[in-house]
Amino acid sequence: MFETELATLAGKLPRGPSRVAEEPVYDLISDAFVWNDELIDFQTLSQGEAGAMRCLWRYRTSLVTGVQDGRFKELWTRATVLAPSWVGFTEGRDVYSENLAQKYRELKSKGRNKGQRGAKG
Amino acid sequence: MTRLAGYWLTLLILLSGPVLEGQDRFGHADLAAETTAARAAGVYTGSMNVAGKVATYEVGVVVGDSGTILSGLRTVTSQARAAVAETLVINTGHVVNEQLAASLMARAQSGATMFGGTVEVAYQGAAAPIFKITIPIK
Repeated sequence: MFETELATLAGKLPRGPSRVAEEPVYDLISDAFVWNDELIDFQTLSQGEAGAMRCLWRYRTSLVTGVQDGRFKELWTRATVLAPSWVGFTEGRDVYSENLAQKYRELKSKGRNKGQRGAKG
Repeated sequence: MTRLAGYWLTLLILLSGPVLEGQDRFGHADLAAETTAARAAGVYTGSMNVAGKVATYEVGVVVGDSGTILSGLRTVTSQARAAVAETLVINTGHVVNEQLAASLMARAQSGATMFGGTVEVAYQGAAAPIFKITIPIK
């Protein structure tokens, strides 16, 4: 899934390496951490390309948090070949981080608690 | 499950739109200020297009917390109304958040309304489905 879209997305990805030192933000739709310099104007992407983008962020977050999600591993591997200079591959962004893992656990816990308190349907 | 679905759906809809790329087409006077404020707060969003009486909001990156919920909904709705739209359609794009996708799927299958609107599955990919949420705003 998204192999074709990844091929065209690869040419649009911002290149690195990054000098950004700040913490990433959390994107709800992809359930992933995203660094500011990776944010791409979604209006320039097709729906499929945007989907591929979200998959890359999702898979990488599974590496960063240690919460396994292998759904997009193949796409990730392909991206390392098609877009090796993507800023998202900056050293340190695809390895386990206790700090981010903890932040992720807190986000998930917060979401569960709010869900249990009940949102309007 | 219903409550969880409600939570995620609420978060999705409301966090998705405090500021819209391209909203100046509606003549919104505070576009620049709102954009700056929203980005400073860490909210990045998608875009809105209007065709006839239907405003379609394409979700981009959704960053924020539940504190932005109410203002977000009001902003999206008021902008759609300003464009003389009578229906707001929120297109999620591919949802790769498994929990969120499951919640939206449950809502779509149950037929339960959300803010008086309906959730439908626009694309049923196992790993990355797409949803459309249609809300009457007249």
